[in-house]
Amino acid sequence: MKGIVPLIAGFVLVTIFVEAIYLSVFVSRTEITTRVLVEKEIFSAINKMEFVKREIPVAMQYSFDQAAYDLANRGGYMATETSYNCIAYWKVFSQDYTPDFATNINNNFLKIFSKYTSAMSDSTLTFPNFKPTVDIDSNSITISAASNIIVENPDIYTVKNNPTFSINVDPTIFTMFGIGKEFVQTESEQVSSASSYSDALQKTISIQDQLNSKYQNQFTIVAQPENNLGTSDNTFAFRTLVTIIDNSNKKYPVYDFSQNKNDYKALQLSFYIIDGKDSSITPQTSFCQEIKY
Amino acid sequence: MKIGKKGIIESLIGLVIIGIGLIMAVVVPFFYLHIHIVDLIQFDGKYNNADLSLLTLLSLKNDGKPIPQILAEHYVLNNPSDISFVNSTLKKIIPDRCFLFSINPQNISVPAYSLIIKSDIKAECSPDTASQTKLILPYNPKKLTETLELSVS
Repeated sequence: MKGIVPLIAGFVLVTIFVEAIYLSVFVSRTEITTRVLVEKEIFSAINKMEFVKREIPVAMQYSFDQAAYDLANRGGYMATETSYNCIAYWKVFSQDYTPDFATNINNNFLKIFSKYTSAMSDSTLTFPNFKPTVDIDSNSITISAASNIIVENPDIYTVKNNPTFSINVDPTIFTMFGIGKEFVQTESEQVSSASSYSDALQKTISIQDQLNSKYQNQFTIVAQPENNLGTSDNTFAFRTLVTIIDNSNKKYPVYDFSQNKNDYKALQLSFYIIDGKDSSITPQTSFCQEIKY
Repeated sequence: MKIGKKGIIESLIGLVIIGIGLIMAVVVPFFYLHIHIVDLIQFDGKYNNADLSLLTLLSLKNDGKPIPQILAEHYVLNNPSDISFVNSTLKKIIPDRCFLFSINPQNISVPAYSLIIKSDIKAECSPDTASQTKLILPYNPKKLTETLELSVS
């Protein structure tokens, strides 16, 4: 009987020893599993930020293409009272309504880009408010914000990134607006001093021809003067639809609101001019509703 | 009490069995822990690899155009209609493994073209680790993004 006590004591000690090992292994396993799952979440969050950094330039490109296409079609304004059939007047007698292209494309770009960031956001990803800057000299657009893009699960991780992105954009739209301004400037100098309606028509077509020979192969400028609205040939007033067409065959993947579908479209800038001696003529206008992006 | 030769041998065998049992009791949990850790690291690595493979693909350009734009315009406008280069690019990124690369449409209100690319390594290919991201589509008020998924074996 005496010999059994050390045997039981030994058995209990060995059992405790083995149990301790099993317990420590179980605790380690649980801790390692938790740690690996948290690591996986952190890796996924870092990768998600990397995905976002690749998605933003694409969203910027498509936002710029859509903004440029819609703005060009409407004569440089997204909503204006001085327009007809949603094509803006750039000049009504001596009143100059030439659009501030850089500001207008910035605003239109931001509206579209904000839709993209809303679509990209989810429960873990938040975007700050961006401020776009179009640089016409370097043909680029840059977006920046005061705060960070955040991928976050408050209990586990927060990944932040400096939100400044810049992409090069096609300069065609900038050149088209430059040609449009040149047309209005030359028209103001020449047509305003015309002695008669027929003289004014001749001068308008002459400006069109001058610009076509200057930008031949690149752009086609079409000036379509309408009938005399004035009381006589000398007291004349007329409206001209100016269209600048890109000859490069470049097409952009945009949404055509008139056809309600995506398609490749070329850029075309159109605007109206009213000029003449009879400034009592009130141009026919209709308010152009802003596109609801 | 005298212990005979037979008794000594039996006791020794008993001690060896208890010893082996004791050693196994100590070693097996650590061995099992090791397998568990390797499994977890492989699980973690596989997810990370699927993400990194998709990131690599989306960082590349083809003929000067970013691949995300090529995929988006193929999906929405069928241009280019042939995107077989994506398959060969994925084979270089994920060699000797099977994969399934596809767009999972979230709704079918917008007409779109199919985008499913399968590896041709094995007939019984069963990619089990998926990485997902959003594909930015050309502006359309009804749909701006779609879910792009790369599953890797």
